[in-house]
Formats: sequence, C-alpha cells, structure tokens
Amino acid sequence: MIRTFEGPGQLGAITKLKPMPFNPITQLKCQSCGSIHTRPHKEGDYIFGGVEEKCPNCGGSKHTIIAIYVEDQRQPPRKQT
Amino acid sequence: MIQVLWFLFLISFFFIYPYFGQRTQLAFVLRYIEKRLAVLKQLRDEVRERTLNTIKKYIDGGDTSPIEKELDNLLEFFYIPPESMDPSGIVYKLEHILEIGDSRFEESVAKMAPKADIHRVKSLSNLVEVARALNLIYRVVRHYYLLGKRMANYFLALQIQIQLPMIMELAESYRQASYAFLKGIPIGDGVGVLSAAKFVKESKPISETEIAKDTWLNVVEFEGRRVYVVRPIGPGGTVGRPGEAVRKLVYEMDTKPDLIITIDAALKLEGEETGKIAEGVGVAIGGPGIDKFKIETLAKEKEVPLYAIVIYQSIIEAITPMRESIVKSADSVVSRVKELIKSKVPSNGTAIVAGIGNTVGVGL
Ligand SMILES: [Zn+2]
Repeated sequence: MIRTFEGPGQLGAITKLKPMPFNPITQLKCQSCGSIHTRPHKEGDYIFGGVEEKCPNCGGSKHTIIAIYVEDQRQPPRKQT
Repeated sequence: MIQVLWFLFLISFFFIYPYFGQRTQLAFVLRYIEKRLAVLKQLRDEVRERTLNTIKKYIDGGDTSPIEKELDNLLEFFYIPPESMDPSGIVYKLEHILEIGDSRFEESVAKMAPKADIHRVKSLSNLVEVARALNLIYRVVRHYYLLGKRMANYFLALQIQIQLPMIMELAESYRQASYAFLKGIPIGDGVGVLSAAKFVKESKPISETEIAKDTWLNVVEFEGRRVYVVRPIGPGGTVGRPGEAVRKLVYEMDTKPDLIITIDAALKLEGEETGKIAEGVGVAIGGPGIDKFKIETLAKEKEVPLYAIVIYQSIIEAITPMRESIVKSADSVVSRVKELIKSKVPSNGTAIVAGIGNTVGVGL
C-alpha cells in the first residue's frame, strides 16, 4: 500500500514558514527641482512611471520613479574568506 | 568465558550491522526529507492561495469555484519538448510549443481575471508560473521520498537528500518571486532591461514601435551612431521576443548592424559580489535558447560581432525583488555600453542593443 503524503502534521513534522523579510523602497525624482527622495514601495509603482506626490523640498507635485529595490542585507563580516 | 561472549558479540555485530546500519540511515534520511517536504507543501499552498486571492480581486463577482478549478488545471500544466532524434529544425518546433503554452497561460489568466489590464494579466501569468514551478518541485521531491520509502532504498532517498538544501533555497526564492510579481516589484533578472531603458533615456530619440510580441524597439542617436534598442514591454512581467525582434530588424527592416550587444543577468559563482559587471563575446540570453539561437545564426551569416555585458547575481537574487547593488550597477552598465559603441562602431554606423530579462516593475 502506498501511503501518500497528505500534509504537514500528518507525519509529525510541522515547521512554520518564516515571514518574508521585505520592505521594498521606491526612489523618486522631483521633476521641478530634481531632488531625489525615497519612500516605502506602494502597489502600482514602477520604474520610469510618474506619480503625483508633494515634494518635501520644493512643494512640486510631479515625480518620476527612478528605482525600486530592497536594501542589501548587511551580513556580519566573516573571520576568514 | 568472557572471551566467548566477546566473540559472539563481534560475530553478531558483523552479521547484523550491514542490514541494520543501512536501515537506520534510511530512517534518518527519510525523516530529513519528510520535514522539508512539509515545508515545500506549505510553500506551494501559500503561493497558490496568494495567486488565487490576487486573481479574485479582478473578477466580476459571483461564483469563484470555477476559477479555483482553472487555476489547479494550470498548476498541472506541462510542456512536451520536441523529439530530438532528428534535431534539424528543433529550435522552431520548441519555439512553437512554448508560444502555444504562453498564450494558453495568458488567455486562461485573462479569462479568470477579466478586470485586469494587459500588464496585470502578464504579471498574473508569471505568478501562476511560479505557483506551477513550486507545485512541480513539491511533486518531484514527494516522488523520491515515497519511492525511497516504498522500496526501502537508501540510495533513492539519498539522491534527493543531497540536492534538498539547494531545492529548499530555490523554493524559498520562488516564494519571494511570487511576492514581486504580485506587487509588481522589479526582480534581479530585470537589470538588463533596466540598463537598456536607461540608455534610451540618455540618448536622442528618433522613433519607437512594437517590433515583436511584447517587445519594444527604440531607435535612438548616440554620438552620431544609430542605435536600435530592443527590450520587453513593461511594467507587466514578460521577457518579450528579443531574438525575433533582432531577426526582424536585420532581415525585414534591412538594418546592417556593425555590432550587437546583449545585456543580461548572469549567475555568479559562490563568493562573488552581487552586481559585478563583466564583458565578453557571444549572446547573453538565458532560457530555452531560441532567442540566443536566432541572434547567433544571423550574426554568423551577416558577420556581425556579438558582444555581451552581464551583471552577476545568484539564482535567488535573479528571481526575487531587485537588490540595491543590482539597481546601482545599471548605471555602470550604461557607461560600459556607451564605451563599447564608441570604440567598436564607426561614427554614423549602426548598433543593436538588446536588454534581456523579465521586465516586471520596469516601465517603458
Ligand atoms: Zn521638488
């Protein structure tokens, strides 16, 4: 008889999944003063897309998204490589 | 007396160990696989659930059970590669099969989520592909686990145990990839597209058009040279048809390029830094090899030099949201491309630049 694997718990092994450690960042460039600022990513953002937001520098409202990324994870330096 | 006992003990150990030892090892290995299999199942279910919930956002309302059924159909979807006994023309047969598969995916997703726009449909198809990949991983690992268990075969189980750490890492990155496609965040693989797009923004535009399915052509002027930039259309998740686009450029639009540059993400070796840029010759396009084949063939026929610029990253970084170091490398890639064009293309000459990769989260 073949016992099929039905799911976690059935065979005694339950391992909880770790939550995903992300906070993507959107980098915006103001079209009137050229200043660059960042904020957390919102759904609908895409690189080279335009967004209407108030510029903290000059008060202008037109921005272009120039980058979307997650920050590099800083790993503690190893003793020897 | 004690000597006899000792002798008996050794003899029994000698006979029992070969059988018993392997049984014990098998039990340990099976236990090891079992734990990870449970995690794989959770990953698969999580991504399936996430895909389903996302699709449900784009329906007109009403009954959702047919959608669930259709999604489960897509998760079991397969491609049969063409017969390779007589390999002549196999590339075009493979292309044909993959194109049918792609449109089947997109059509089904568009039907399931009628309210989604074209870019959303593409990202959703990618999401379904990711869920399908996770389903496949789970099924294969389960197969070896159950086979090893049923046959009580240590070596069958061992085969999958050896590969499991890599498989687990891949499964976890697929999970993170699903997040990127869901939210429309650029992934590491998109750096080639991003670099090509940046090059376009920094040059003088001449014209633009959709040259092949999901593929955009920008004709720009750069220091007296005409540059044809080919890349997939974003911000939906697609890789476009760069091979077909370059073929059309050369054969149908009679472009005579002095140079073809492909820009793509490449797998780094363990211990190398992410975002390192390297330059070489050849066609830098991953995947099933159709686009690579097309460009290589025409380059040979027309004797066009092929240059490639790659951005190193791990397989995990390539399919998960783009890292800061990869985004930053795009600017260096653009200056490398400019240098290449300046040194290899005569002024008033022509070059083709192809940005390769998945364009999710990167607009035109
Ligand atoms: Zn401003």
